[in-house]
Amino acid sequence: MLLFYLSLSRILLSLNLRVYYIILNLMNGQQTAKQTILHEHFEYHMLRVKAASTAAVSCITLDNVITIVIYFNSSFCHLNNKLSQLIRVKSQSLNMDTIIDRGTPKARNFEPYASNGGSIVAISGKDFAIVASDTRLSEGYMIYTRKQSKLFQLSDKSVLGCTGCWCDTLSLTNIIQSQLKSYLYDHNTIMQPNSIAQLLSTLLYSRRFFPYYVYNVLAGLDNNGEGCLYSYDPVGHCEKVNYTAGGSSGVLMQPFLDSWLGKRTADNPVTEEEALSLVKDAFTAAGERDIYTGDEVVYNIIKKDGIQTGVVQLRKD
Amino acid sequence: MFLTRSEYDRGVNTFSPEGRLFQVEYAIEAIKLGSTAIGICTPEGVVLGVEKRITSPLMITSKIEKIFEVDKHIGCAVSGLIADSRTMVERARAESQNHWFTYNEQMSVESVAQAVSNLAIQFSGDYDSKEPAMSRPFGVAIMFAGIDNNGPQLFHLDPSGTYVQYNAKAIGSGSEGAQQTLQEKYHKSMGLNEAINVILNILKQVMEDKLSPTNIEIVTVTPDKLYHMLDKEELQEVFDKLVPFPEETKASSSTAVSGTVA
Repeated sequence: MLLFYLSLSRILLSLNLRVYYIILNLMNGQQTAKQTILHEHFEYHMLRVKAASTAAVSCITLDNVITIVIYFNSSFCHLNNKLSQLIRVKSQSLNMDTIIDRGTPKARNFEPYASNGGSIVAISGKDFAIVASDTRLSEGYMIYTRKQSKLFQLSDKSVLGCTGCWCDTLSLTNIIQSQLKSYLYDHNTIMQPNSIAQLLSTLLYSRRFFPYYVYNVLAGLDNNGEGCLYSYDPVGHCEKVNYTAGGSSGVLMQPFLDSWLGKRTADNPVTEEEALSLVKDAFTAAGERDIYTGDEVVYNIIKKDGIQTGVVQLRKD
Repeated sequence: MFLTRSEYDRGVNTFSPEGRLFQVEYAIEAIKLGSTAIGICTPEGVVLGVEKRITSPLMITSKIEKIFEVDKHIGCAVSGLIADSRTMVERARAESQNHWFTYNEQMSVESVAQAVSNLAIQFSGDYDSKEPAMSRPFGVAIMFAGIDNNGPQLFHLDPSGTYVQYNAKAIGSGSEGAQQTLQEKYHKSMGLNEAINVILNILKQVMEDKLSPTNIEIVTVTPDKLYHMLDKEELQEVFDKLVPFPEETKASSSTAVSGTVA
């Protein structure tokens, strides 16, 4: 045993390693209590060691095998390998083994989100609502596809536009679709857009601290047949609006819509043709500046007698 | 070997050879010991009326509750074991609030009845739920009266969890006679005041105590006021305006009532 201490201390001292304590269970059960062993030599040399970092060494005996566990402070990383190597050699000569080498501490990056781009524009009118998205799906400088619409039809009177992290979009829209179906079976009626709006808000807020990274725009016709529009942030704040832009180019297109539609009053409502041309212009402009918006625009015009769909071409570079 | 009924009426989970669940049937019987409650659904709204049994002159009658507000637009009248009804009304209220919270709309009357019916049949033990199962069926019948997108509606729920929509329904000890009279008196174009009058008249017939404004409870659920319990003055007013049934029908229904009592 003494031999072991001495060799260990020699190794450690040769490396200028300052050891705070060695915890040891002595064999034969004579002394089972934990002992703080600071060998005299050890201590003497330790005083001269100026290194500020620490290593903790614990030895656990089990039958005749002594397990040495060495915990290193992170600033000792550079010594780590050399030290473990030395101890391994020594412990083999002493019939000792098992060194838990925790290796160099690494920064672990948890990155659950991706930004896959895409934009949504929606405008509601007296008897219609129009919602449009581009069809580019990308990450960084890569384009995954040029043909992915981000519009999800939820009922014959409501369409959800959903962009951001594409996997979150898929998950969220699937949850909503299944909830709508359950609602239909439970209450024997199709959920109205204002109820979908509230449901979406509670769904998003239920993930307040690990949110779905998505920007939602819900467009539909309300109980009176009037167009209605709900705009969201990723944690579920819901606002009923008359027009909105969201997604990667939301910040580019919103001021454009503000200037055209911001001062509209009830006696000068936006017409369907005007709304559609504004949507097209907004996307054309966004496609010039934003690499995450482009390829095509798909739009849905929700009206009393159905949903009309169309496609407009955008820049494809 | 033929097994008699008595051997199959212990466990709530065991069918008799004839396919009956006696405990559930007994629970339905328990309602017939309860005070009478009557509901009528009219195009103008729904009316619920109950009798309060005053078993002691020292009772504070205003504290006896047989009609509960579930939500602004739904009320319910109960008969049977009132203690059981509290649990069910609590569930109805929770479901209704939850629906509003999630969907930002008032829950439909039928959905409330459905939600409470789910609770009513949990006596046999729900393997999924963490909550200990109720060991017996609830001994209470409930009438849900409310207004939703489909207009005024009245639903009746019994201990077996069955719920049925009615135009007019009576539960409790006087229910058989009361139901008979309702059948005669109900018509599709009935107004709210007429419905209140019918309820008062029927209660008068079936109640053992003398009808008075203090031993009844009346609730209306109408499109403008929604749930509204008639206060002391309003009860006195309808009591004063009470128009008795014409003689011939009164005679026929009172025989039905005496039949029930006997």
